[in-house]
Amino acid sequence: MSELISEIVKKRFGDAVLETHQQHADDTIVVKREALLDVLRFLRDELDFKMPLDCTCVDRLGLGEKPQCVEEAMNPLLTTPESRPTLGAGLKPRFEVVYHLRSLSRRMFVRVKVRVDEEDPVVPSATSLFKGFTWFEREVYDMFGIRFAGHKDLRRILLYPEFKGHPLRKDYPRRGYQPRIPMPNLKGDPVDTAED
Amino acid sequence: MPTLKIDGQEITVEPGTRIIEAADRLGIPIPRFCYHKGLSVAGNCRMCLVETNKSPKLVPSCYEVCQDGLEVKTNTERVREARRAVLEFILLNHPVDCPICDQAGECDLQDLYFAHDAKPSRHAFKKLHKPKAKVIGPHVILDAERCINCTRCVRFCEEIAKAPRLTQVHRGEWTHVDVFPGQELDHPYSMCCADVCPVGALTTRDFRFKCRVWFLKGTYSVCAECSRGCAIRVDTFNNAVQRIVPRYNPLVNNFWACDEGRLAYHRFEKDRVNEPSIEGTKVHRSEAIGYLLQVIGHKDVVVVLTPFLTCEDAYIACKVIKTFAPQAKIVVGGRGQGFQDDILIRADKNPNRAGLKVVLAGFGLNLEGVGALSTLQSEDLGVLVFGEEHADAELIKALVAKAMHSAAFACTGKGGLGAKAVIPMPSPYEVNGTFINEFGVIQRCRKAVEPECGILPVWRTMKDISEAKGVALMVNNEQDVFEEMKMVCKPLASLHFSDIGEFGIKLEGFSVESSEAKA
Amino acid sequence: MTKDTEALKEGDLYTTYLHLNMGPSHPAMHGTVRIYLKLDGETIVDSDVDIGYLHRGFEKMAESGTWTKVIPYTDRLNYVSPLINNVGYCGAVEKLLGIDITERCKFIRVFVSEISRIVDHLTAIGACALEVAAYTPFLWCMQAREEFYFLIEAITGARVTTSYVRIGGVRWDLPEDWVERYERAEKKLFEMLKDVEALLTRNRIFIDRNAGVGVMKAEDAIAWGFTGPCLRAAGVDYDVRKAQPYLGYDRLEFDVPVGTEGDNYDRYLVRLEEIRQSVRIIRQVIKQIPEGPVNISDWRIVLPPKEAVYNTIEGTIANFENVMKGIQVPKGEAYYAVEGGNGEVGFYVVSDGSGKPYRVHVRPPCFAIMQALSDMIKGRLVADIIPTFDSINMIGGEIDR
Repeated sequence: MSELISEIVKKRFGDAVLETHQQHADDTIVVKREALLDVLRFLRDELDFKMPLDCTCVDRLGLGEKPQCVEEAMNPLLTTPESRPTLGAGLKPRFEVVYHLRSLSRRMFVRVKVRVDEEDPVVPSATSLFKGFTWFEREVYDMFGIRFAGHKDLRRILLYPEFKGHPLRKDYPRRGYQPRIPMPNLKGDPVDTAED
Repeated sequence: MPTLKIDGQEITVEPGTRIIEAADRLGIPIPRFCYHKGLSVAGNCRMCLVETNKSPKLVPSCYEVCQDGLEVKTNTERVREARRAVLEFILLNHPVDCPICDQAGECDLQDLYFAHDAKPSRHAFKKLHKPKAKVIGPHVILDAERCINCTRCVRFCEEIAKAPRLTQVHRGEWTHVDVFPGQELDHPYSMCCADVCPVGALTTRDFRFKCRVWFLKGTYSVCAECSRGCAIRVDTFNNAVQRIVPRYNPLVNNFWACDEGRLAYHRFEKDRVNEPSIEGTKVHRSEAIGYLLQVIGHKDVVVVLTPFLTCEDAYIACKVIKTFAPQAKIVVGGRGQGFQDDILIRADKNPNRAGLKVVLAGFGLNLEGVGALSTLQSEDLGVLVFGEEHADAELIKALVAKAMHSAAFACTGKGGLGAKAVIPMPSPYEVNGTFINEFGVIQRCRKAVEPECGILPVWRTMKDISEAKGVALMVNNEQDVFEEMKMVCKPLASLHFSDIGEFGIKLEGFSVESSEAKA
Repeated sequence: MTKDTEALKEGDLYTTYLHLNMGPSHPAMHGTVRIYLKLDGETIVDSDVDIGYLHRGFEKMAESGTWTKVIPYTDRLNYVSPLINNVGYCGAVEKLLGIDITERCKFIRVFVSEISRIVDHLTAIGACALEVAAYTPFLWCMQAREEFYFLIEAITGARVTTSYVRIGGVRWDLPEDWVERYERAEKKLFEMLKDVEALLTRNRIFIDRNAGVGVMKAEDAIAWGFTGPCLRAAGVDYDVRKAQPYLGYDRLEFDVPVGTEGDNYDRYLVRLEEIRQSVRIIRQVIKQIPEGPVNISDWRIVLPPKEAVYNTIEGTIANFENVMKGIQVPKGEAYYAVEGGNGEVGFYVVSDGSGKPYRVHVRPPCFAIMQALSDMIKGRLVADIIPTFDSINMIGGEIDR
């Protein structure tokens, strides 16, 4: 294709497209949340991107400018106290939901990104356009807490329903401890009174 | 005010600024070995060479002064070649010591080689041998093979420590740094030479082979050995202090710290008091609280504070004493005067005398020494002593002997001063709080080591006393104490505990005892 | 009364739906999956596929070490064809770095990928047979697979947890006798395949159980995001190796088998034919593989050779920094897809410029296929779940990560 997909989309949607880039020859389009479904429908119907490849999310809490080292370069291997975080300043909006779509006829894929804040982590669900994002969006909800408006079955998929928190967020620790779940009292079981 | 462009970014700087400083301000990293902001410019490592439009040759950015219209490029092929060449020459005779060198993990040579070179060696001969593991001072050990001849240590000893003990000896590829024959690296800042050394040529004997640096966790804190209150970083591993390293603080100590403060943590490594005891028998904490209530229940109560207490500890202590023993005589003990020089070391060997002055002023009291008690006569005396190192220990012991109930807060077994009850006290590396140094800079002291479970902060014990009397204090952590304290102590009124930051804050309206600001 | 009673037919006995749990601990639920069935007798009215019993936090763990430390985690994704996962992940990081690997390394990676694919398909075919109670062909497939495991062990040192591929190359070159070992495995493979085909392909019971069962037509398959043998069985000619060639697949000649019906039987046939095509690819690799270095020479990415590490300061420093700080990957993001045994395995990596990965996401092929399982078995009998589930060849490590 002589013209980039992101250029076609930008021409069609104007300022609903926030930015585009072609890093490492991957066509990437960042769109506004309101325009997401329109862009996906356009890609599916008119540009033949019929296959839903992947839907994931990136938590941008650790990106952004790293704080400047004062004078003598601080050893990056040492942890630092709360007055100087090692992670970057954190980019806003915090979450970036990434959709990959593939076109079989054009033999290429395109990446569509939409950014949401943590105060309002709602994205319109692409399951209305692509059945194949059903479980992928459930996984993003499970791991990051992004709600997909219009998803018919938004519940946790990889973790158990009583899990508290969203583990792939950057502020969830690598070793996170979960509260114990009380054993369900099935009919006929003797009541378990002993604690560990 | 010259304006110049570095890698396309424009910056305006004060006249006399070097290019490398301007690049640091822009966040453009120019590699360097011999340049150090706290020392004079040598320009001998040639690692910081950059390309400019005003010179056909590459120019050392640590030496060149910024001029108007200068355009600096730090990443052209010529510059990269120059850096590779410099690194290759340095590494020609560098020993393969990384597995045994203490500097591994924080070594400038390792980091810069990986970032700028990463080419295999072209050296086909035997490497040169120079003095290895040579003890050159009570705290520093030299490995001359690793020396890259940046002369940072030479310049430090000459300019900062004012004791020129090191020099470059020999010439050509045999050049290295050494002490003069018959002399030692014996000035009180010798461990700073090991700090400035970018490689493992000068290392501290205290930390030698102790722990690998990537296991260390660094906590920003304040040195508690004299009233300068140098900013330090306490490196711990497995909940034990492994070493103390100075931290940059332009308000207090620039980049340096004296050896004594850096070795002070050994005092608290063993023989700690970790359970309260009354007359030698270990008791439960509630009994100790009961005993303390008896101490302050006497007609005459003497409280000897120590300037090792943080402001928060001192504030809660004074508040509790004043509430339940309003007639108590509060004095301040602490270590006596000692050696002072005009670099960093102060005569007053206590960290927080100024802080105690601020806290006591908040209660309307003046700072009085223990000498004020020499004329004390009493039959019904209770004595409460904080801290274990007091210059007027004899006087305090005499008072303690006269008292019916006496209690002492002590860190190690050397404390106590003969008091009947001994309560555990955390060391300065186990407290969260603030210190105010002699010149009015308030800094945050942070908990680097988690104390054993019997050792609680002093303010917690005083809070328990208050609660035992039925008056609950609405404070749960040091931040709450600070917020309460600043209502009463005027110089702290506009501060916030979490905003004190890594440099501390210079307090306004603070009378300074001596007129010098800093080194 | 609830909608369960809508199933009541006039004049029949009172009946409700049976809720049956095919629990995670079940001999037919490979890789621990729970299918919660709502049955009307034996007919499936509805089902809920519940995964996540093998979730080990791959994506979170990947953020905690350096780029190289993620490679052993990738082994455990699709553990039947671990080398393909290794190749995919390292390819994604190399895309971010913008480097190109050596020619010999490309051919080696193709070779090990195809061997892994043969192993994966043998397992799938064996399992297809096993589930319809044809135990003998299963064991024959396992025997053939053993030969390939010997070959993989000779190359990488391990049968399953291979961790062979590195960023910028592979761990070490192929062993000297790799061609002989391969030919031994190939001979055994064809002996077994002849017998397995003879027993299964025209077998009445096998066809009855599998033909027309678990049908997914092309349009639906694309809408669900199917890739791999399941998509090709539906008639869509899509293979990542042909659509977006990587590692020199565009220089190799091979066909992509495409089915027609999209049922279990077609998937079995597609996999069978793919084994033959993989053999064809491997034979070309053996002819075309050039001599030369396997790793690139940049010590910032690959570890220096041990003689340099132990004897020169440059080697020591490069080794130390590479291991402790990790490969400094420039900021950016990349998506790299390889053709796995089940379909398109995609790796989406995001770097923040340091030696630690910022985000590593795996697009598992069977994740997309399993979301359609509910649709594929709706209206069919319970006995049809087993062959359908098997022909999808869901690997628990891949779907749950």
